[in-house]
Amino acid sequence: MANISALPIQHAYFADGDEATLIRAARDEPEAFGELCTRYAPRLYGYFRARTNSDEDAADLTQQVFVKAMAAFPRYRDRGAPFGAWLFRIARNLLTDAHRRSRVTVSWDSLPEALHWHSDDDVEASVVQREAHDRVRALLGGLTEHERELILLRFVAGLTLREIAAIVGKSEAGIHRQIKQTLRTMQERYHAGE
Amino acid sequence: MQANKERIEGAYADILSEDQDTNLSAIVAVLDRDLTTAYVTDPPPQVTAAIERLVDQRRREVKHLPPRRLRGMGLRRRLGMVAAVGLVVLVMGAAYGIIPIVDRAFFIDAGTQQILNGGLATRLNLSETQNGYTVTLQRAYADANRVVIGYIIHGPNGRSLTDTEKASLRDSLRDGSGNVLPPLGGGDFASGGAALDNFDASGVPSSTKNLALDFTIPQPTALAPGGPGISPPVTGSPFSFHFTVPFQGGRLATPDQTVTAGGTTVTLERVVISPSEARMYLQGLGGTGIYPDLTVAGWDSAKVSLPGWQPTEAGGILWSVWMTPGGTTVADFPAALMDKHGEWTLSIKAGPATADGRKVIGGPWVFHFVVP
Repeated sequence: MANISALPIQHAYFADGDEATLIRAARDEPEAFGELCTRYAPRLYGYFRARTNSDEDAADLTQQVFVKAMAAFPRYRDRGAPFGAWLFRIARNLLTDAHRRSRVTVSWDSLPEALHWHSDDDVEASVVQREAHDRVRALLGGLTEHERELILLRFVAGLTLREIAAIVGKSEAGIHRQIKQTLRTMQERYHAGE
Repeated sequence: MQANKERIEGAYADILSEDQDTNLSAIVAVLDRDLTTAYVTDPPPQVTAAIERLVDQRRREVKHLPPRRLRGMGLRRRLGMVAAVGLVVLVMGAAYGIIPIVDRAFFIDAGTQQILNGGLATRLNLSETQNGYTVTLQRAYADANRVVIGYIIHGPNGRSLTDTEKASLRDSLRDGSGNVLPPLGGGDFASGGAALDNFDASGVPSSTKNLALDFTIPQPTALAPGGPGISPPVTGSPFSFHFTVPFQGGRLATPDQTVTAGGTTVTLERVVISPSEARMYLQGLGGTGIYPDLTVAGWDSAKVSLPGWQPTEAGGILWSVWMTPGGTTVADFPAALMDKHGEWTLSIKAGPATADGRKVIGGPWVFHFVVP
């Protein structure tokens, strides 16, 4: 039998450790799981902001992802989907449940302009965000729900094509084709609107 | 401007690398800028506070758990990257419907399905009940790469386990001499409480004919009322099974081949082919995001539709990558490759995960070698 030496878990890993190390450590170390959550929180929160009508709903759903993930995490297997894809699968399921309960209403076409930017003291940032949001609405407004989802998972959630493929149950090559085609459609629309 | 262009090309290499379409690059840059500006921001303090609460709760819970027997031991498991098949329910034929549920779990990869179909998995039917929970070991299998154990677990009155109860299950495996066989993951991919767990058997002497094993599962932890996934544990004796299974040897190839790409040198030291999988041992790879692809005699690990394989409802495993404590990267291809001879080609792409989760792909390191 090979000599498998003990590898004491070191908290130093958590500051700059790679994701695989964190996942391994998180099976025993709550702090490592917390670090994983912290790393993914901005992307999950951004994804929910793009899919819900308020920052409050987005924050609530982000928290729910972590609660569910913590309960299910010990049974998460390295041989399963990539960790990011696993988390975003939970996120999408939560979103679907929220839609069913009509607690969060998401209609891109009717997305209120007043939502998603803050009325805080940073007026300039707020204006920049509003302008960006206007352009995004114009670009994504004509897409199908599936096309928008792919774009949001790639550009807001920052997932790889392989991770997106794992989430939506398609081949990576198929996702690659769909995203490229969607981008070309948007590109034509963008130039036509210039 | 140039720096941003390079950042965009790096961050979206998977979209932009194939062609030099400046228009496509432009719309990608616009989306990157506007979607990030519109939506991506630090979450509010309540999210951070929720994470801290979860960590605190879990820390309190861990204090009450029995010590994990495998804690800190064994494998520095790397990203078990899987090209998950996802919605493959459509391929489930009528025949699948009549397969016992624990056998369905063997369909998680083409290798385990092969050992099931080939009658290589020993039927055990060992059952134990404690505090209303029943664990039944139905089949086990061992070869030069891995030990596979299929079992079913039910709660009191035959109910399925809750997510928390499932989460509390951390099984362990030792050989007859007490040596730990490190876990390689698995999953409760089939319905009905069936699970299939894998353990590394690379340390078992190749001369072994029959392998004595001790398999242990702790009692599930019950869900506390009102506790959203966080609960005090139920303590009790673990389920413990002792049995012996035939040990299938493997074929060994030693390419000991070195390839340098992008300034990084990677060595493919050896290949072990067993009935359940082909395993590659590599030196020189670092960081996360290792993407291997194996082709041999028309077989390609990247293909979902492997001949004769019906993935489970939840998908299936095409390959996985992990790292030994000594820093050796191991790529497993769980498929029936024992009868594949001639030239094999292993291609590895890699790249460190960046802080925002986007990856820069490096390599590829391509190895051509002959398996006699």
